[in-house]
Amino acid sequence: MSDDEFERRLREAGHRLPGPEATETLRARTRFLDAAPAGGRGRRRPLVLALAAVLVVAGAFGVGYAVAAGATSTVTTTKVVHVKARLDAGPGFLPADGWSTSVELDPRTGAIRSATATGGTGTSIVARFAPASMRPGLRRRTLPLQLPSGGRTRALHARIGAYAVDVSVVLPAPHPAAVVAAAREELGRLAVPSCPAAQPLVTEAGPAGKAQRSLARSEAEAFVLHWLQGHYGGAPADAAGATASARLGRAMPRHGEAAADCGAAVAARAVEVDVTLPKLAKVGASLSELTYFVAKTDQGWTVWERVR
Amino acid sequence: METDADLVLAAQRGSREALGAIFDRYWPRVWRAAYATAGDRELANDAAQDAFLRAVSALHRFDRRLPLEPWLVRIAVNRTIDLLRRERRLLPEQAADARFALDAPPADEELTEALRALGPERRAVIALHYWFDYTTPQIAEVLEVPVGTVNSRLARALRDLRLHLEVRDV
Repeated sequence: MSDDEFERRLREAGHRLPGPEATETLRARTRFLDAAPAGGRGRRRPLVLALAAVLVVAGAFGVGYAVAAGATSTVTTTKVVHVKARLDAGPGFLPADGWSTSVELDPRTGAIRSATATGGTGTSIVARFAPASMRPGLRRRTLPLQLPSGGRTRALHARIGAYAVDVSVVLPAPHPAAVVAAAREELGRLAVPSCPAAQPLVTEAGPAGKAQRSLARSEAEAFVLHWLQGHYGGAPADAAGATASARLGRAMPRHGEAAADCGAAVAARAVEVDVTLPKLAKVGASLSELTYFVAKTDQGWTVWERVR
Repeated sequence: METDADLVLAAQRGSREALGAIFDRYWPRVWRAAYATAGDRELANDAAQDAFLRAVSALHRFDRRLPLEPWLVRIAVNRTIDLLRRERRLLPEQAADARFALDAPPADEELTEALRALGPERRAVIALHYWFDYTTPQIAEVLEVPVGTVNSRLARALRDLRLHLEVRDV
C-alpha cells in the first residue's frame, strides 16, 4: 500500500466518525447548564470563601500527608546503589574516604535522577539531573565544578554534557575552612558523562549508504535490547519480549531533543531506539514505551541518554 | 458570531445563554474526540459529559485569551484514557479491547481492527492528528506530554497500523 493510499484510508475513517445522538446531547446539555453556578461567580463569594477555608484546613493535613507519603515512596520506588557500579550509565560522585554516596534511579527507565554525597562532618551535597533540552539557557560548564561562595546553603546550576545539573550544597553550622575545603573537593568528584564522541554511521551514498543505515539500525536495536536486560528500571518480567525500533539522525522523531542535548553534530550521528514492552502495552503507552539515544563510539555502542 | 472570549466572559458573569452557546459550539467535536479515542458511544458520552462538567466548574479560572476547544478536548481525551485504563483493570483484557468499534457505516473494518490494537494513547494521537488536524505541539498540550513523545507515539502508531494492514493484505 502506498503512503498516499494509507493516508487516504486513515483520513477517510475520520470523515466517517459519527456524531453524538440527540437524546444524549440534550441530556448532557441540561446537566451542563444545571451544573453552572447561578448568577455567575460574583454571587458565589460566600461559598468561595467557605471553600477556601475548607481548603486551607485540608491543605494543612495535605502537607502532612505529602511529607509522610514522600517518605514512604522514597522507600518503595527509589533504589539506592553504589555510584561506582553505575558510572558507566550516568552521573554520580566518585567514591572517597569519609563520604557516603548514593544515587536515586528513575524506577522505570533506570536513569539517574539525583546523586547525593554526605560527609562525616555533616555536609550534604545533592546533584539533580535532567536532560539539557528541558532547561534551555543554562550556562555550559566543565568539570570539576567549583563550589560557589556563600553561606551554609549554596546552589549552582550548570549544563554538562547532555545534562542540566542542579547542585545544592548544605554545610554544617559552624563550617570552618577545612569543612568548606572538603566540600569543595567532594564537589570536584562529581562525574557527569560528556556527550558521546559519536562516529558517523553512514559514510556512503546510494545503495551502499542504505545498507549502512540498515546495518546501523539493526546493531542499535540489538544493542539496546541486550543492554536493557541489565538496566531496565522496572520489574525484569515486564521487559520480557521487548521489541526495538531504531531511527537514525534527522529521521529520529526526537531529533530536536537530541540536538538540544548534545548539539547538531552528535544528533546527526545518533540513533533513537524506541523500545516497546508488550507486557505493559495493554496498560498504557506511557508505561510500555521507552526511548533511548545511542551512539557508536570507538568503544562500541553506548546509551547516552535515557529519554523516558 | 461571538468569539470564544466573548462567550467565556459572558458565561463567567452568569449568562446561561453563553454557556449554552459554548456547549452547542463544542459538544460535537469534543464528543467525537472522545469517541475516536474510545471507539465506544457509551464511554464517549461519559467522557465528553465529564469534560463539560469539569469545564463549567473551572470556567471562572479560564484564561479568555486561549481557545476553548483544545482545553475541552484535553479534558475529554484524558478522561477517556482514564476510563479505558480503569475498565481494563476491571474487565478481562479481550473484553476491554472488544469495545473499540467505530460504528459509522461503512466502516473500514481492517483499519478499525488495527486502531483497536493500538491502545488508547496512540489512538488519541492518530485521531487528533489525522481527524482533528491538530499539530504535534497542540497534541502535546492536549495529552500533557512532551512534543517528542507525541512524535514518537505517532511514528510507532503509523508503523503498527501499516504493519497490521499489510499483514492483512498478504
